[in-house]
Amino acid sequence: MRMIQRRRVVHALAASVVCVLLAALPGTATASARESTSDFVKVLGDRAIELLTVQHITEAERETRFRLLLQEGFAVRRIGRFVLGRYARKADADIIRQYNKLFEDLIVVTYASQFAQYSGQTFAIRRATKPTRRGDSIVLTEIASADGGPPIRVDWQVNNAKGQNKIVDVRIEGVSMSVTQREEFTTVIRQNNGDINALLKALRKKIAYLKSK
Amino acid sequence: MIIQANVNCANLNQMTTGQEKGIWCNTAIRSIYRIAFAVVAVLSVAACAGTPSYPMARAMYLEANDPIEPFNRGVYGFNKALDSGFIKPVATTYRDSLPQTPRNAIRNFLNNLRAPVILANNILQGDIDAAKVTIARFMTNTIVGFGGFGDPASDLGAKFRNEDFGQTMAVWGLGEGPYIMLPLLGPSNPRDAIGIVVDSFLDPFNTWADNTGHGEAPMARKGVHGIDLRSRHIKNLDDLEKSSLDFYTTIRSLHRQLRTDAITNGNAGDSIPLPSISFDDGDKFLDQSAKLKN
Repeated sequence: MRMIQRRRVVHALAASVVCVLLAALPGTATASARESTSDFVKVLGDRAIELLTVQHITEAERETRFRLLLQEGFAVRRIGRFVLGRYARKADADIIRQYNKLFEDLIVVTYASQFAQYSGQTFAIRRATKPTRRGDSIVLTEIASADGGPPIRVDWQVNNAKGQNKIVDVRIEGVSMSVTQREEFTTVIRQNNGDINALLKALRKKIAYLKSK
Repeated sequence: MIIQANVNCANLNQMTTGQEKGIWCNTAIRSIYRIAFAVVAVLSVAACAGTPSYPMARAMYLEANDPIEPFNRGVYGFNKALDSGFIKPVATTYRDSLPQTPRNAIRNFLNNLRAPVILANNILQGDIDAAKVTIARFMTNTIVGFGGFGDPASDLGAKFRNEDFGQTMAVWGLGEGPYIMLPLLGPSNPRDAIGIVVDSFLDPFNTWADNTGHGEAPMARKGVHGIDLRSRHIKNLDDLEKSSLDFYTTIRSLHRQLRTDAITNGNAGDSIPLPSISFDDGDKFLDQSAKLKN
C-alpha cells in the first residue's frame, strides 16, 4: 500500500519536472507551436461551433462564451492597437482602458449572435504558410455552406512571436476585418479633428444599438 | 496610354473588321482620353485643397487615398438614395418573387455572355491557362448548358472568374489611383473607370447591338445584371451597415480589398499585408495596455 503511494508521488514528481523543463525550453515550445498553427485554428473553430451554436442557451450566455474564446484565441489588444492607426500614439492610459473595453464589446455584440444562425456549415483547413521572422503565418481555410453554395475562403493570420498562438486578423474572400475596421475607426477620429473621444462615443452608441437589436 | 489604346484597337479590329470600326475605335480612344483628362483635372484641383498639414492626420489622410472625399460622399449619398428608393426594393422583389433556379439561370446566362471580354482580358494579361478555361467554359455552357442558362462547366471544376480591363491594367503594373465614387456604378478609381469604358468597346455584344439597331439591349443587360448582383447581397450589406461606424468608409475599404483579391485571382492568401498587425515590442500603446491589465 505504502509502496504504491510512494510510486504515485514519484510519478507525479517526474511529471511536474518534465512539465517545468518543457516550459523552460522556449525554443521547443515555439517550434511545436509553429507546427500546429493549423491545428490551433482547427481546434478553435471546432470549439466555437460546439460551444456557440447550441440553441438552448441565452444570448447573454452565448456572449460570455464568445468573449472567453475571443480572449483565448485572438490578440484583441494588438488588433485594437492596429485598428487605431497612428492615433494610438496619442492615447493616454485612461483612453486606452476605455477603448480596449469598448473594442472587445463591439466584437462580442457584432459576432456572438451570428453563431445562433448556424446551419451546419463545415470548415476545412487547406494549408498553413511558413511563419515569417515576426512569427506570422496564414492558415487558409474554406467554409462550405450547408446548402451546397460555393465555399467561402477564410484566411487566419496567426502570430506566435510570444510562443503562444494568437489570431491577429481574419480575411474573408480577401477582405481583412482588421483593415476594414482600421479605415472606419480612423475616419471617425479624422472627421472629429483627431479626437479619440469622438470614437469612444461612436463605439458606445453602436454597441448600445447592436444590443437593442 | 497610347500603347494600351493601340492594343485595344488591334483587338477590336480583329473581332470586327471594316473601315467603320476604325473610325469607331478612334472615337472610343478619344472619349477615353476625355474621361481620363476630366478625372485627372477634377482630382488634382480637389486634392490640393484638402490635404491636412498636421502629421498624424496627414498620414491617415494619405492612407485613406481619398482626396476628393467630400465630393465622393455627395455621390455616395445620391447612390444610397437611389438604392433605398429604387434598386434595393426591385432587387428584393426579384429575389422574393422568382425561385432560385430561374435566378441562377439568368445569372449563368449573363456570365456566359461576358466570356468574350473575359477571354480578351485573359489574353491581354498573358494568362493562357485562364484563356483556355474561358473558352472551354463558353463552349460547354453554350452547348451543354442550353445556350448558357446552365453552368455545367462549374460542376466540372471550371468555376466562373471575372476579368476586366481594370484588372488587366493592374497586372501590367498600373496603380489604381485615388478613390472615386461613380454615380450609379458605385465605388471605383481612375484605372478601373477607364477599364469599364475599354471593356464596353471590347465586347462584341455591344458591337452587335449597335450594328443591328438594338441600342437598348446593352442597357437592359446592365440593368438585369445590376439587379441580380444587388439581390445576392441584400442581407450581407444590411448586416455590414448595421455594425459599421461609417458605411461610406466600409464600402471604400471593402471595394479596394475585393479588387485586390480579384487582381491576384484570390491567390494573395500567403502574403502578410502591410501595415503589419504584429508589432515589435516597445509599443507605447501595448505597454500601457499590459500595465492596465495587471
